[in-house]
Amino acid sequence: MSTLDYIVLLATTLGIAAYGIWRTRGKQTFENYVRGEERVGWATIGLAVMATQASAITFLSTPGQAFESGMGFVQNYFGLPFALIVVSAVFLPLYRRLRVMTAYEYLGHRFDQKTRLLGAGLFLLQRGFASGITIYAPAIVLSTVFGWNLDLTILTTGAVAILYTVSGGNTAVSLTQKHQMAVIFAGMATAFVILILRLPENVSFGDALTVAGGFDKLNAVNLSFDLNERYTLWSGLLGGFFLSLSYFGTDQSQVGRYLSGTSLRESRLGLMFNALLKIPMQAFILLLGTLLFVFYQFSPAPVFFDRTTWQQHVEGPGGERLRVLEERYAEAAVVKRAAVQQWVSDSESGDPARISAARDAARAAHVQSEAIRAEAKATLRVLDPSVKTKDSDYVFITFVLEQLPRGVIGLLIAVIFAAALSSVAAELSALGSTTVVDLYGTLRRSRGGTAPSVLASKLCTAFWGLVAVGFALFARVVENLIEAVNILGSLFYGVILGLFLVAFFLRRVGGHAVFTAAILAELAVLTAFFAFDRVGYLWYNLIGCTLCVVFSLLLQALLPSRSQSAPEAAAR
Amino acid sequence: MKPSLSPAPTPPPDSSRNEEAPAVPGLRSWGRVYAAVVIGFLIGLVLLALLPRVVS
Repeated sequence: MSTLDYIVLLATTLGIAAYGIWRTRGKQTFENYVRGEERVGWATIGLAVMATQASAITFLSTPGQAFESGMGFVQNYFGLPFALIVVSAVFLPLYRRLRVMTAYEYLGHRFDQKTRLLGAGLFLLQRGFASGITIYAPAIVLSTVFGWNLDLTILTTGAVAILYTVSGGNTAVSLTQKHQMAVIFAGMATAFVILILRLPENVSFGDALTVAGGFDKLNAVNLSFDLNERYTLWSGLLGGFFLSLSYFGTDQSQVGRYLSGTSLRESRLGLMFNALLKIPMQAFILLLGTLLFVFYQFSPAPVFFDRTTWQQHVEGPGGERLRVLEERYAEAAVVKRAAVQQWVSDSESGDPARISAARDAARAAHVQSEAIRAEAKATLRVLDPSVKTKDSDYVFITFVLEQLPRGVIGLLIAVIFAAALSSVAAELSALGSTTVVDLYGTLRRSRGGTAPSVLASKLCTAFWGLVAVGFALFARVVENLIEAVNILGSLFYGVILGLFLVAFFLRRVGGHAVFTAAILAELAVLTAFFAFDRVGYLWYNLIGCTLCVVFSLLLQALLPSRSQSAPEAAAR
Repeated sequence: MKPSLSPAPTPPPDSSRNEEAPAVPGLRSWGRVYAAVVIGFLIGLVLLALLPRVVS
């Protein structure tokens, strides 16, 4: 990166963090530190909800996923609009009516303190791990590409997030997220435009889509009923619905965002903003990845996109084999480029037979070059079994570094940091709030103490910041980062959602029944995942939620007199 | 009453104060917004499903 890139990167990243600290300076109360100032409009809420969900992983990993597998990943988000409608119509009014600070506080109102602690505990467990991955994901890619020290990159990212989140609480998180999203939109739009401009002169945007379609990269909707397929319309609608309902309805990192709204209307509009725009945004990022695939049909692509790792092994023992494969791949790429060019030229002829023959030739050339790429990865694995051969996380960053002009590279790296910081800050704020409100606060009250102080909240937030950084420093075992986060979420979210669905819709079920049911359901989900792992991970959301609800009903029927809990009337 | 950090439950200042309010506040007035979101999703889904056919 050039000096100009570093200036753009530092000015953007540190400038937004400093703005968050400056705007929230002065005296703070416990309530406005945890809940926010409640002066937040729908646009800020909408952008904050979007920024919390879209981490750096979204911008690093998603284009690479489309490069490899096409646009099918978009189905993961198909349940999201429906989930947001349910959150807006059912969850949000109840949270606001009770003026809760955290989602788990509602469980305390509806059931009892042990169920509230269970909900809070499950959230802290999974979100604590996930926040470590949120910091680690961009750090590993950026440190590999730029040769930065990995631990130092993790520590710096963590320190900036901790600094402004601890300083300004929930309000600082929402304020900075609005500006971070502006940087993200500007950066991604710039990358998209430059990518189109970098295509060969005779290849229009329409031709690029035709090439992408010819290589099956535009198949966004899969109607298969096969449970083993990871992304289908049905798993996206059903599994994605339950994952999104749990995430937006019960994960404090999101609940905290929309509870800071000025009114119920503003919060609802913020949620509907995401219901309308989240899928188009994901589709846009996937389309970017698909067009990257097309771009590399016309431009030389590395045989392995993690070039630093590749180069290290080329220069090491056995490197000669890798060099030969690299040369074979370059030769195959020349053949493929000619075949794809021919296909684009023939597309204008209007002769279906000629177009079909040209497309088949291009596809055959692609299969040949992909076989060499697979051989290169296999050889790399033989030479070093510890090496991670899934290089899709490096596709977009390779394009950024090699194709974008000076200054714009800095902007795109700032996009990655802005996305990382916006997610991490929301997570730390939520982890801190949940700890201080649901654990520490409950303990203090039970001993006759007063509400916790702002200082206690800041210490809890800082504590989780250190835990997240600690996890990040040891999180070197995951192969695909975005999937790791979603898998982790799916193992816990279903049961957490089950707790809330029972709370909202099954008035007869009391605290003892739902508490026991949630523990049994979580054990069943973890057993199914670790012992069998036969189904796509999105289904665990549905399984966990269903088991929690069914076990609650059964246990309530078995223990009717003991399980009724009085506070449910207060929660309605 | 269970211990809580929040004040006692109060009706939201901006939601319907009608005693006969439905179980889901504002559902009727927001129904059109939700319907528009669902229609938008369905249009997008059809466009995504047709995309490979349109460009081939």
